[in-house]
Amino acid sequence: MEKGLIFSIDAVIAASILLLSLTLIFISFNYFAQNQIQNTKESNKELFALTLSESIVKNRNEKEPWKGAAYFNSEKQRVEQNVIDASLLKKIPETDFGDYWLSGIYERNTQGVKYFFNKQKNNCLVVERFVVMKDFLEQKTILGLVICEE
Amino acid sequence: MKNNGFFSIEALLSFSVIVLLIAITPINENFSGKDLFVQQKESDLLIIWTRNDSGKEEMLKDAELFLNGNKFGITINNEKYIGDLNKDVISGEIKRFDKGKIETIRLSVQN
Repeated sequence: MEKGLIFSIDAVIAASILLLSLTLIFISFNYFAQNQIQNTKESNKELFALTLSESIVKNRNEKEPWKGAAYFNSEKQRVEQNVIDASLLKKIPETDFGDYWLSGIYERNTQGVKYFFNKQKNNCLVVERFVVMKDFLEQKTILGLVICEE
Repeated sequence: MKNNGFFSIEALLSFSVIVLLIAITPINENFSGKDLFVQQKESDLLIIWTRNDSGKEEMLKDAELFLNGNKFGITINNEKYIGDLNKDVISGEIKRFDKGKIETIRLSVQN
C-alpha cells in the first residue's frame, strides 16, 4: 500500500489516543461544570436563606415585616436582636423573591411545632434561628424559615 | 530507538503524564453554607443566654434542643462545663456581666 506524506500506523494510533484522551478530558470537564452549576445554585439558596433569616431576626420593618420582625423595646429605645415581635411575624405572608420563595414559617420548642403558614414547594431548605418570641408572654423558641425554589 | 513516524513511547508517556496531571489537579472545595449556619446558631444561643442571664443548666437544655444532635461544648471563664471536643470545631464567644464580674462564655460546635 502506498503511504501518504505523514501516514503511518503509529500516527493513526497516536491520533486515536489523542482524540480519546481529549474526549475523556471534555467529558470530565463537562461533569465538573454541571456539578459546579448545581452547587452554586444550592449555595445561593443557602446564602439567601441565611440573609433573609438574619434580616427578620435583627431588623424591624412594620410595613414589610419580611424585612424585619424584631421587637422594639420602647424603654431602651432600640430594636432587640433575636427577640421577635409575634404580632409582626404573623403578618409575614408567603413571599416571592424572584428565584426563591419564603414558603413557610414555623415555631419549634419542647411543646412541638407550630406553623404560621406552610405552602411548601420544590427543593426547599430550612433555616432555624434561636429567638425569644414576644407575644402575650415571652418564650424562648426556635424560629424556622422554609425557603423553596419554585 | 528507530523512528517510524511521529509516534513514540516517550510521546505517549509524556501525554499520559499531562492527562494524569490534569486529572489529579486538586479542585477547591465548593462553598457550603454549613459553617455559616453553625456560626449563626452559636451566635443566636450566645445572644439569648446573655440577654436572659441564663444559668448553666438552661444553656445545656437550649443547646440540646437547638443544635439538633450536633456535638457541642460550653466553656465558662475558661473552665469546661460540658463537652469534650478536640477537632473540627467552630467556636463563638461572648462576654457578659455577672454580679459585677465579666463572664466569658464560649460555645463550640463540632463541624
